[in-house]
Amino acid sequence: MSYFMKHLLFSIFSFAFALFFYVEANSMVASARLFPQIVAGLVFVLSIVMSFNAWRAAPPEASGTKINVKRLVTYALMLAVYIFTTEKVGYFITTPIFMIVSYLYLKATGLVKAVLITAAFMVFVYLLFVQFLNLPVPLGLLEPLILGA
Amino acid sequence: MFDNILLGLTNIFQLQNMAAMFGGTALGLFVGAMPGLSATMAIALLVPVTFALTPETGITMLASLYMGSMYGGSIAAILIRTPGTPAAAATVMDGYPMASRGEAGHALGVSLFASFVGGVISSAVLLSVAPLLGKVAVMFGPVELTAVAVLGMTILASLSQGSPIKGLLAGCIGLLISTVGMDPITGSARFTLDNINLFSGIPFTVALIGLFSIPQVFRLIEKDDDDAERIASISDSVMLPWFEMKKLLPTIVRSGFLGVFTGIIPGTGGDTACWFAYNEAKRFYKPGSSKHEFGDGNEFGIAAPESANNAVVGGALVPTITLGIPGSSSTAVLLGGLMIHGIMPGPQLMTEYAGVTYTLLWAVLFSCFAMYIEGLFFTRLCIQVTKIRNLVLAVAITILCVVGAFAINNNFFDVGLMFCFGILGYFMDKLKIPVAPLVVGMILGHMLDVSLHQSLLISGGSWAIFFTNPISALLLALAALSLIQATPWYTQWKKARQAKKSA
Repeated sequence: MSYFMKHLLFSIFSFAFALFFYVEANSMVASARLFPQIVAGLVFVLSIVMSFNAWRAAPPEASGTKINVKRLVTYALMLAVYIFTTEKVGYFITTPIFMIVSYLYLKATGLVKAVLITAAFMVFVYLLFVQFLNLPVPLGLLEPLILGA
Repeated sequence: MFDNILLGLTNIFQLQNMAAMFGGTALGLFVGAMPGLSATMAIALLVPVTFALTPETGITMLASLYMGSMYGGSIAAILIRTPGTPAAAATVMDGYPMASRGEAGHALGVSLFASFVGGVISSAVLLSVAPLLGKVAVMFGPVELTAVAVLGMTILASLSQGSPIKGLLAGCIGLLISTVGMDPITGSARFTLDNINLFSGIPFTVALIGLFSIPQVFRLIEKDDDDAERIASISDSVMLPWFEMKKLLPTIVRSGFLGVFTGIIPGTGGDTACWFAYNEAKRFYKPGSSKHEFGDGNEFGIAAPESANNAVVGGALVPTITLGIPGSSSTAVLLGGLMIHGIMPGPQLMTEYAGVTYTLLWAVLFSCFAMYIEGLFFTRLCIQVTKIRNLVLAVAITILCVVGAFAINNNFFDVGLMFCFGILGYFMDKLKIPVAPLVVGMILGHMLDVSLHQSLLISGGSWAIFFTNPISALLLALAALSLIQATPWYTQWKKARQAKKSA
């Protein structure tokens, strides 16, 4: 994708984002809508100027490091699925699965090392968040088992 | 004021705060030494952990991590020719050549000593300037506060990396995000989409974790691990002899002050200061002072950037503490560490929350000593840390992001939000749109909204109040100047003037 096109897409996103705020604010009392509408107006102007600048003076294409898009998108999707399922299934079930699968998919380590790192990391998270800091971690399916004990 | 300074000093000597300081510094050393991790990201990930601690202990830990990571960044720069943090980029120039000669310990010793002195200089400035500026800042009313916030936003945006337009756009998007939730004046819900999770606004820490950590994970994933050349062991001593300390001291002190002043300007941080100090060290260098030239393992070339990047810590905290305007993304995240304890940014940091703020000031100073002691003992251990593969780190960071975002409000909606901010941060990074102004916009949005409304109430709706009030008028004029100097017309005018002069 060209330099200009990338910037145009972001400008459209920011413009639409600001438009939502501007339109929503119309139904508010004057004092509540003043600040968001001023800022939304600024975002409109800046989005257009950014696109114009990108069209006017696109820098020459840099030959940077090649990005592994497939790996990136797959990992992002795996992360989305992990976040979506953790609340229901439980942190201590989905996390080891996510970690091991990720390590194997990314070819970061072999299976044995992946299992060992995951186990050590799970113990660390449990000790730090649950035991030491008393911070809540979603238990999901394990909730009756752990809280019942 | 002296009571508060003493209160902070007493606080820092409490056992839990000392433990947090040493722990935070050690964590900073390790995080800084890992090329894949940034100080800002580490602070963002640690913020949820500090939620369970007292504000004093939490902020001490975060500030110490920040200080420790500045030295830690040089470990990777010297040993594997990859700066652990952007602030250590200039250290690579002379650090790696010196290490390649078998003087890795010496290079790290120069870096450690310079980091220590730079940190102490910045703490001294912070401890002396911040309370005085704070005294002035508490006299500010809503009109002046509005102008301060506008000035902070414009300076940060215009000096951010990338174009000023991008910085301003990011800042305004941050301001818009800050308006989600209950309106501070009328108490009505704004932009919540009737979602109960958004009624209290978008949690700042959740946004921070997403913006700074998830893009970092994606950056680690998108590239294949490189098998960079690395120094596998340190054979010489990290402790510098006294005569060498004496020889380097003038350069270190000068670079320290450069770092402090660079840090005070919002939008410029360690990454700018290190090159600034490196170039100045080159300019002041007397040939023959070192056996090696710049770029060939010259100790002055390591001392200058390392002193400057640690000095940035104290400098960047000056506007953060006195005005509530973070000088860098790291200080913005530090401010986030205060916000999760209900401490809101602004001039009241020096009065209402003096206990916490003055503890932070002392923590910056004492963390330099912790860094020096730990650096002498643990630097060799950090070699192991530099060997951890980026892909292994990426997955572990992801897990910490998820558990950290959840822990703030015990709510999975926040984890989803964190992921969305992560995606936004990644694309912003790809387009070279700076994230720091967005974060600062989120911080200043509330203050700006309230003070703007109050100012207009005072003036009966007239905007002229911002120009008739002398302080506000001056600050807004400075804001306008900062915008003008960021325009292409100003650059063209400056170039034309220089060309005229040289002709």
